Amino acid sequence: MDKSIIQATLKQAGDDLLDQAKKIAADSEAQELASARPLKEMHLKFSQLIQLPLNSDDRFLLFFMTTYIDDIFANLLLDSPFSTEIEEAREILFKEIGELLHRLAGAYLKNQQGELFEILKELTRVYLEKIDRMNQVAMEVL
Amino acid sequence: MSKRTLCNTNDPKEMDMWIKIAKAALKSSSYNANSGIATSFYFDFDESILGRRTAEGLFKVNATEIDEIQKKITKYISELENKLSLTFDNIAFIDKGNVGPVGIIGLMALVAISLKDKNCLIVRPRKRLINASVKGNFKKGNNVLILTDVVTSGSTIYQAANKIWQLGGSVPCALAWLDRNLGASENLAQYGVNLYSIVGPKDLSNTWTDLKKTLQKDKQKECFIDFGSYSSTSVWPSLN
Repeated sequence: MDKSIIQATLKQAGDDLLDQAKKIAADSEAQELASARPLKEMHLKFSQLIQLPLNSDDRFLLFFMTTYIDDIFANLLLDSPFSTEIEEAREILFKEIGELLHRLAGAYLKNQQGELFEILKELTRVYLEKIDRMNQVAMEVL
Repeated sequence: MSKRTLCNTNDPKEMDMWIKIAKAALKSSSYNANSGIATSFYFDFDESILGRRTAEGLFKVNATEIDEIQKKITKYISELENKLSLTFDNIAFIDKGNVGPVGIIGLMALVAISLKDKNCLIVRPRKRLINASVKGNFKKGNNVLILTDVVTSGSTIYQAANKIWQLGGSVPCALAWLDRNLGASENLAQYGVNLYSIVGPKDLSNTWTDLKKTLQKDKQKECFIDFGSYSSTSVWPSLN
């Protein structure tokens, strides 16, 4: 399979998340919620691609990304109580994921496996750290 | 140890009802409990409530029986309050998330209606966000009774209780329809959770032969249902 499809999908999701972050930062009165639509679109694309014959590296990348997004949806997006602090943490998370997806797209295209693995670890770290932060906020409120 | 099963074994009508539920729900299967224990049978409450066609006909819990189950559960909750000299502020049901059975959630609505002075909760042990893991009218300091279907080692109850503890609640007690006597009672007691069940393996033991026949007619794999041969506490790693 042409690597450019995976690379373009990663880059597109990264672009969309960063554009969204810019819009939210530019208009603090807009009360716009950070949307996971770019992640969902990437998930839909990768869920289809993963069924095609792939090399083991590509299969691992697509499996990681779809599972990662599933976890974000299950824990952060479906039916989570609203609070300003949590929404801010979510906005920052999506922005950081956007930046990391950009880096991931570059490393993937250049076949830099070491760098790619580091970015996946970084994606995991930023997500779990934001969850910890949100839980701290929740416990302070209680 | 005090009596941990609450059913009235001298009431044939009640026992017939629990046995019918067991028949409707029992399946031979390759099933892994939440603790990771593999078992050759389990009780699928989704199917017992939705209805399940077998060689012996359609097994289905009817509306009258659902009503009776609701009354019995309500009665047993009240008995537990008397026995433990406390009041439950909340009755919690566990949303396991894609690992079913969810039939018990259907019963929740009925129990919630009959327990006007108590608020029902849904506890979602798989949620990473703590304030999304307990749904319902819960307040710090509340006494919570966890109500569930079948207990094997107690790990699901522990995970749900852990969410309630994190939010400042107490879980003095859990009530299951069936405790399979695989160490749950001992495991949960370490954390101050008293486990009771409506029925225990002994209460159903007279019907196992019957249940086995049902499974054989359905060409299901014969269950290994000798509860007594399991060791009681070795199935759950120590959490200390």
